[in-house]
Amino acid sequence: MNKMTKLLALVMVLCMATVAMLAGCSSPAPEATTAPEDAATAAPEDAATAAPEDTSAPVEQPDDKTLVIGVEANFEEKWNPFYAESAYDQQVIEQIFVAPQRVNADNVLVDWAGNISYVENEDGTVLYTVKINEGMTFSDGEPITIDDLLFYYKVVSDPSYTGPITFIANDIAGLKEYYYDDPNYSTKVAEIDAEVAEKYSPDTISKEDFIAYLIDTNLAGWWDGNPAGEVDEDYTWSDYITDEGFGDQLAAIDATDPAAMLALLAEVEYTNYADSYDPATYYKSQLEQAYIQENLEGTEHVEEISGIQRVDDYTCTILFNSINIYGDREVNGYLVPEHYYGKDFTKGDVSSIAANMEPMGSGPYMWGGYADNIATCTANVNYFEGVPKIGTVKWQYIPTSDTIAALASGEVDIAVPNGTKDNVQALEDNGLIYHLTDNAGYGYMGLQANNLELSVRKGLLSLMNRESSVRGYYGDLAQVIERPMTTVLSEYPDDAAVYYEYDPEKALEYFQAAGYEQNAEGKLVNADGEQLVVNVYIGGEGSGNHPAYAMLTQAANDMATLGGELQIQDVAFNVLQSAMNDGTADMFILAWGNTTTCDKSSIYMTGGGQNRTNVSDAALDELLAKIPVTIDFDERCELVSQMLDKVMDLAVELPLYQRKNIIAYNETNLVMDTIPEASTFWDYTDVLWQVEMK
Amino acid sequence: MEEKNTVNTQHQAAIDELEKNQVILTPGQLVMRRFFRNKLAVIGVCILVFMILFCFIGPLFYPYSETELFYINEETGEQIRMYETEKLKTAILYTRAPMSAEHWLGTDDMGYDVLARLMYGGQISLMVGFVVVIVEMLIGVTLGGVAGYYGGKIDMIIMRLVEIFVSIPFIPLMLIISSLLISMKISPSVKIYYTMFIMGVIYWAGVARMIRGNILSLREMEYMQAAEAAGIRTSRKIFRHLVPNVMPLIIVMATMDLGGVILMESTMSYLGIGVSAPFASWGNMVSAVTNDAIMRNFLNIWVPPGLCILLTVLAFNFVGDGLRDAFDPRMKR
Amino acid sequence: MRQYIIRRILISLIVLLGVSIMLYTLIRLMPSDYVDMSTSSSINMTDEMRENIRALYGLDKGIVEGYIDWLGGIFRGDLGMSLMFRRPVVEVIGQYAPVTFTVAFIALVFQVLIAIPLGILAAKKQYSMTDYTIVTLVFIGISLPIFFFAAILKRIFGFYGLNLLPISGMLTARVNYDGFTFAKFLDYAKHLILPITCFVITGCGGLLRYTRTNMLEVLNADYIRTARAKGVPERTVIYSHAFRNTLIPIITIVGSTLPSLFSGAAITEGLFALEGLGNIALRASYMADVPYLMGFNMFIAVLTVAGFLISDILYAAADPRVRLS
Repeated sequence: MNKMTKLLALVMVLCMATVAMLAGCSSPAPEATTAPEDAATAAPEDAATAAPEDTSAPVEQPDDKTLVIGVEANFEEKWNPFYAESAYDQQVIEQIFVAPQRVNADNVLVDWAGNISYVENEDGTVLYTVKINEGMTFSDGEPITIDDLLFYYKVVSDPSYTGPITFIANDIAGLKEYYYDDPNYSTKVAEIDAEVAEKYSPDTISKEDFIAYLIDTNLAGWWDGNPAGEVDEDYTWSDYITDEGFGDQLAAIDATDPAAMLALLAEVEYTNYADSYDPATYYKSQLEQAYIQENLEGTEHVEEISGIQRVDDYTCTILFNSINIYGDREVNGYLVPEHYYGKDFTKGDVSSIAANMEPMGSGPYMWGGYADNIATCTANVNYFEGVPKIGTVKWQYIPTSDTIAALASGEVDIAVPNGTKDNVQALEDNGLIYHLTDNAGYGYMGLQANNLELSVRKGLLSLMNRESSVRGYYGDLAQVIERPMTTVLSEYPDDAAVYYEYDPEKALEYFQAAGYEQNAEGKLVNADGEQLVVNVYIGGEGSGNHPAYAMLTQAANDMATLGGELQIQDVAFNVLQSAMNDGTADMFILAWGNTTTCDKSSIYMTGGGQNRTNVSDAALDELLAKIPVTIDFDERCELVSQMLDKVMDLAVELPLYQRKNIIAYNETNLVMDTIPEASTFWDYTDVLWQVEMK
Repeated sequence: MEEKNTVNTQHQAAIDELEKNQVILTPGQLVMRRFFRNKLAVIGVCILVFMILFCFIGPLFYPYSETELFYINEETGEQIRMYETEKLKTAILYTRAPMSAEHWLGTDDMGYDVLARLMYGGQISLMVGFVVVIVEMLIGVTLGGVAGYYGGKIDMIIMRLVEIFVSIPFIPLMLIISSLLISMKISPSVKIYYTMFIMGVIYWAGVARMIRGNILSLREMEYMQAAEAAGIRTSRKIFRHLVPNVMPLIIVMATMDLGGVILMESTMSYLGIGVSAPFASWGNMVSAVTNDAIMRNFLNIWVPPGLCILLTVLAFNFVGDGLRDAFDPRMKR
Repeated sequence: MRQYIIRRILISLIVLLGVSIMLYTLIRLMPSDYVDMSTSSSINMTDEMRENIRALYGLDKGIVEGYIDWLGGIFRGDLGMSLMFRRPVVEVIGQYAPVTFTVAFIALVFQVLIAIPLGILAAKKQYSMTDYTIVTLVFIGISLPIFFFAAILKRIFGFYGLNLLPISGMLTARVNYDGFTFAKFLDYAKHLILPITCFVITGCGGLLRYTRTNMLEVLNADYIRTARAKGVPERTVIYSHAFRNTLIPIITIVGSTLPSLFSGAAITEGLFALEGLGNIALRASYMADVPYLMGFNMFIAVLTVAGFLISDILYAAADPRVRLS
């Protein structure tokens, strides 16, 4: 299971910044609580009733105990609210910063350090109003004002910002002008687009520009710089060039000179495969970078984001040009002290902020330092909801294989062991308390639409026996799902039925429909006599340690029986990632973590930023575009269901499993009454300031 | 007086032995005799013979292959093999099966038969050892020999090349190379051969350094200088005089490196860059030891490959040490 | 002599240049890309945004251009910023080198203390039961992968076994220390016992074999026979005549392991959750953190090349013939 750690650590990198920051921190303000009456809300009442009796004490003080929380992967040590990427760094950052709102156990935004409301205007724009509570201070005693939130917006919109928060993707008035540092950006970007369309689009690009692009990008990363290298098994670059009909030119050049080979290959690719390259994006990015740079160096600057207006010390408004069902989450940023982070900040240079690794905010805990794999925080007596009960909280990295031993021995009080059968068994053997929560993500197999035609994809999906494989690996800790979406979302269609049954005979029919026939030797070949060979990449770290591994081994066996070949590439996550991105992988097994949104347009939309399968379908695009602007829940559910059916029909993603996470506690040191029953969106980290120790 | 006598007796004994050896034994027989005096070396040879028989002959008598999955019907307890596709829908993987008549060493975490994988995995592990050592020896001996024999500029260049290769940390390098190999669409069954070849190419530097040092010291020997003075042909000098003298060093280094490479393969498999599933190697099988639950409760999964690696590497080391002691007359006591 | 040293240093610089070119090319050829990795689960990330981030990191440049930039940085004394840590590479190496070095150095001391006396003993009693026992026991240490020993040690001494020692980490998080006290030192020591034991077990074999072989060679040398013949007591023969003559090659071998003190054992550090250079290098390779990988690997390369340089210069000082060639 420890192999899974690295994978998990990477997969769980948080990027939906707003969701991430909302999921963390302490209890909601009493008047805004819409959370169900569970342990979480019961506990504050006890605390509230206890507090008035204790009026003799002038200020409540945190105790001098130390809570130790086990973390299952190395910290990346980016102790910065703008740059923290890994879920483990985030876990600490979330205790140091607060935001106006956060999600409750039902994944609904509720008030916390403020409030967010919106009105839809008649022209289709939406005006959000963010208010923050008055009288709050940062842990250094400085008062919090709306300027601190406005500062946050500016940093994440800065052209030099490289962190994980994708605020710039929002359709906010004046945001792009600020980013491009040009009030007339739209005309200029339109010019760039026009220039790209005119000079670099597939139909218009000149041969010189295309070849220049191919050479600059090393054939989009394909060329390895080694003239003697191999394109494929026993297939050299020279073989490739000859087979593509450029044998004469090859003879004319020095085949050992990398530059000459690259030039010739560019020629080959331009002539035969121009369609599979995308010079337009490359040139567009080049032009835009030059353009931004030019603006930043110029004298005229866009100093403000016009759609974001300061109303008073505690209020601001944000104008969206269009409806976005997650707009409130997008504007819900951390309250980051401008006086602390913003000293050397000028537009176009966030380096002073990026270099600051001593976080300071207004959350329940204050940064204490990091050393020896341990991050330390101490209680912030200025925290607006109340004084935290525990004086010191430490997060210690414990390798996954040792998590349960560390819990059982009392080294750590709370930890998150991997959700496996073994771990549940070990927890029970050691008499430890644990909560199971649904993971806000799902496992799937993606099929590269560019490499495999529809019937082949359908045939392959009919070879996948998911149930035995997933259950053999996870036992009861995961269930096979039928649509590619996490079941924790309320939009998931619960009545969805199996789309592709495991049936090797049916698979053969699909392959035959794609023009593959079994020849005399029993090989499955197409009209050109080429055998059906498909590869699949899986991150089992070389030892097949993955819930889908047995499924693939079985499919490879069945495929061989039919006369085809399924090559399983068991690789590290980084290799899988690049094979997927450059189109080497015909199929790949991956998981989405922390995808708490039903807007899947970036995944399935033609040209979407995370469209890993390169699926492109007009009807699907239309459905995808409708979902994020449909506010009515039932209507949205219907659209989501149709959209998912369409995805299944296109056979680009095979949903595999919805798994569970474990949160485990050693009650020796903990007052368990102060710890809420964990759910996907709400657990002890949200009320850490109220957790008590014995 | 008495003291002198003892010395004389000792001296006489030495001369006797020397004469006896000269009369009866060829150098080869001498080496053999010294080798078989070392009990550890003899045990090593026995272990190696057993392992080779087990890995290469064993599979002929065993019904399962290394990549065959086993399923079980949870309700009926019926065991299902992977080609019975119609029964698979209701079955789950038969993982971590206990030792039984069907599976002598049980099944592993993925539902494969442990004994079958032990045999096939052994083939791969031994192959890795031999291929890497042959490649590194071919390159290392040639370049090291050339550097040592010719000296001067050639030596200078080759030794700097050696420094470059030795200076690059091995594990990060293999991580990079492994991902490069996969990106070249090399299928997993062939990938390991490329990896072996590359490991050999990286390892040559150490061999070259040793050989060069050895040749340098040989060149200083009186008989080589005599050969020089006598104007013997270069090829004759190399093949008649140098090669036979370097040969023992080569054999010893090769034997010991065989063990080292098998260990390196298991380390690489642990990092996911060695022999990758579904193919077995002792290295990737023994990685299961780091899984806490398997470590504590399923000894049948990790002890057999661990034992195989231990015995084989130990045997190579014993044999290597024994050979060195045997080749080097100065070691005789 | 001076001329020789200067020439030799210049050549070493060329070697380092060669190493850096090879490393940079290999690292950049690695198919994975930091920006792809770090934005892989970012739903709203577009290809265009990725391209922009890449440009800001300088990853959009070709290999040649990128290498020239990197080399330019070196001449300004700047190894660049680690992408993973967002901190200067020099700072990251400086922060983690002490841990790696301390563990490796202590382990080395123990290896020397164990392997050399045992090696001498084994040589003294060649082909005896003592010899066989010592050699077998020590060779077991180099006949199994290090992660195997780590797992076994954790099992025996950890929570599920004798429960005597902590099985991972470097410090007990529960305790708050003020400054570097003796109690804190003991806490560190307790955590480092198992990893150091692992290094000692797997490191002894090579040194012992070397000592034993050298000792055997010396014990059969003529001058030892002479010494024995002259009636010098066996103790004096072994410890004062023979051992002294094996010392120099042994010191050379121990000295050549110096760079490995810094390169760290990536796997062992990972298994015991030590924050060391090796473990970080492993993570950096997975994340394709180009500046860190370059900085770290070059740091090791410089140490290794310096080792060669020193030994060559010492040889040259001892043997004038070398200088002439």
